[in-house]
Amino acid sequence: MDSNEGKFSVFETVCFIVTIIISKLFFTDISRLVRETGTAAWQSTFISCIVSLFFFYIVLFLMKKFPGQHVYEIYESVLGKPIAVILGLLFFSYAIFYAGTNLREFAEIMKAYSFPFTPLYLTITCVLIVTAIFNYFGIECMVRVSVIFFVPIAIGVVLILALAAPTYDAYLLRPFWGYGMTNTVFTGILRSSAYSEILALTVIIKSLQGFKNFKKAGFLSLALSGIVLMISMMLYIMSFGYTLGQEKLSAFFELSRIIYISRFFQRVESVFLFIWVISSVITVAAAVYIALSTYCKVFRLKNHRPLIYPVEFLVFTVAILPDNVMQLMDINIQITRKYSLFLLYLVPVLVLIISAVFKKKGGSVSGKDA
Amino acid sequence: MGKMLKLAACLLVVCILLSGCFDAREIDDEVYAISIGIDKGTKNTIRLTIQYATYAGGGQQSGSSGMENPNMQGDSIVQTIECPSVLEGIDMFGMAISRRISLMHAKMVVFSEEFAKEGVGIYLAPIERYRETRGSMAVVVTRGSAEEFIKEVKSNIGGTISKAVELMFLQAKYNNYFPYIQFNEFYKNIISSYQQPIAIYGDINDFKNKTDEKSQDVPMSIMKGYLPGEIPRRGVTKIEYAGVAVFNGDKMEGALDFYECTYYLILIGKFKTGAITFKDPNAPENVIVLDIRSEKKPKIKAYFQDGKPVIDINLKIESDIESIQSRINYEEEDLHRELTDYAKKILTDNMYKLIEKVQKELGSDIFGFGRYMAGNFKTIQEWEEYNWFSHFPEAQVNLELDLHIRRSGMMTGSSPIWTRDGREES
Repeated sequence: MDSNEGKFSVFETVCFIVTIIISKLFFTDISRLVRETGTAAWQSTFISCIVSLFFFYIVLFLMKKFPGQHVYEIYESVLGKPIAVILGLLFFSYAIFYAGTNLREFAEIMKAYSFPFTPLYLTITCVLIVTAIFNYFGIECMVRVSVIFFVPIAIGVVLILALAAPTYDAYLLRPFWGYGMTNTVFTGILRSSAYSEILALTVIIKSLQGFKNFKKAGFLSLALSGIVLMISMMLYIMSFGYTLGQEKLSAFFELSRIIYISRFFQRVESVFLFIWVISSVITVAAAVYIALSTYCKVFRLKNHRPLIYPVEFLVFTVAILPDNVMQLMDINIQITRKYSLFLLYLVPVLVLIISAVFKKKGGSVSGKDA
Repeated sequence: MGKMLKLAACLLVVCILLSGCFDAREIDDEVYAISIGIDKGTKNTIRLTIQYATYAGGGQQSGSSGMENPNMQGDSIVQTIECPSVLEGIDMFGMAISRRISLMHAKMVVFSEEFAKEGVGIYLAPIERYRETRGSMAVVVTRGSAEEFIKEVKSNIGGTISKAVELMFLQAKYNNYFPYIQFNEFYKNIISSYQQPIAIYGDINDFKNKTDEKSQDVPMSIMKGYLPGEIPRRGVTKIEYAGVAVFNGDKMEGALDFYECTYYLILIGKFKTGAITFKDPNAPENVIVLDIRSEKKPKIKAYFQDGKPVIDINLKIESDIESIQSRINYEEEDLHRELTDYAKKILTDNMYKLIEKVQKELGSDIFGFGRYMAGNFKTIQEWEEYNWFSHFPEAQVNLELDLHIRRSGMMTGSSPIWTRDGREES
């Protein structure tokens, strides 16, 4: 797999990570958060971002101790092979679960808004074909594509937010503390998993050309995503209020649907459909890549390509597993966006503590990687 | 590699084609509903009326056929069915109409007042949930039957029926006699804890209330608001929108006439510009017309005083003199001040009357004062427990109006009229 990892800059990495984090704007996440925290949903996502920054800061220590190493290689060095294999397979399974969940969510929203008669499996298969092509060419291809589409996605997001401005009412952000400060903070901490895509950096660290770039890309991506999600959340509540805001299926799509500037400037949502599709496809492709990368590391495989088909098949299986959209939202999405925190953030923290206790350290790497 | 790329390209093209196949609809396989009407049914829960445009060619054949069949309105057709729900009704139309009815271009939904008073919530939720309907369609309550109202929706000036319907609602921007309420806002306020909903109030005018042409001593009716269907007028268009239908939750409580609607729009900061006619303070048989417009958005403060909710409203209004029938020179400093104070008093009094009516008679916070009051609560639980709507009628509302008459139109003064008897004194 190493041969396909390629090299990319901080800017390219930021574009990639921000694209996959903010793709949640188009999913059910925002209305779910409004349901849980009310008018304080924007504070909650801010807290999630801060918590993620904190955990990323801790992960930095781990990555610094083992410069230039893939996160699985670090687990192997610190915990030994048997535990690392178990953890590796756990992460592999989670990545497939994450990809399948996101894919199903995307397909369900597509079905609800745009393609009501298209069979779900067809939408899912189409996305999987594209993600297979992405993964065939490797992470560099994925990152380059996200760089190309980053500007249209950014313009699209800004345009939707700006054009919906006539519907904004800042007073709808009251009462300020939503369902209570404790609830907001608690939900914010739990939902920090919404930014867990930042840990993709620990998998692609070899392509980042050094620890400094890793650090810079991580902080910049988190800060930028946090700002975008917080502002979007705030404006969404300002437009729909906390009562209607919790009813919507796709917050951002609904925001684009209510744009009505004049008789000639309305029904613009279809224009924004492509930014939603692209960011969702890149997100699923990235998750598939992480699954492939982890599996290759665990079983020391050099070529990931023969694995693409079986992994895509597994993702397809996970995607069609939920019986209905309610089950998807109540189980799958809750696991990926709420409870995955314990697996994704706490495992690296534990590994760091163990490495500190047992004084384990990676070998020094020359040049930029040091 | 080349083969792989070609295969990938082919697969992508196939994907696009396949996804298009399932959801592809030919334009003329469907008819696009322009108006949706909901009345109480007699044989089933509701009587659903839809008006859709025909493909007969943009309003060209509006003449004779429309006269022969009351259900054919020029370039549109009106169909009615009794059904258990709106969406099933749409499907049931398929038993009689050769095209599928699409709600994607629906411009308005009309409820009969009788139906609105019983509660429209259960019928709105499916519309909100349905993929085809749009939040931008207008919500109208008609005093009579929605079916009869929709039958009178016609494109008299020319152009398509959908354009006529949409442009009619945009008139609200220029005259302020009725609000432009879109479905999204209406539904949002039905489930809101801050503000209660309103709808556009409309009816058919049978022209029976028109002015008697022979009468010589018609009393000057200044600032007399009318409800729809009562405006003394004659013409081709029978339907009219005037005033506001006021709701408590999903049930209609009452209505405001078109002048009250003007003051309502001033108070909520949605008044753009419009002419208001006053009696001349120095010549009561004549009138003065002021073109007024909001200078700034109203500043509203909400707080508690001795446990009682208090709302302070600060309004800034600009106006221009449009007409002085008496030719009194209100452009002069003293008279200008007198006119300003007079107009200010009338506007303030009328706004207080409106607030009192809404608080005491209707009891619905259609002003959205709740949005300001919510700032006094820390959490949603506290706010919802307080239940602002139950306290709204007892709230003390203080109004401060800052009115400036800025300009005097294209004249700087009025010269007296000369007759054989000499100069007429103003």
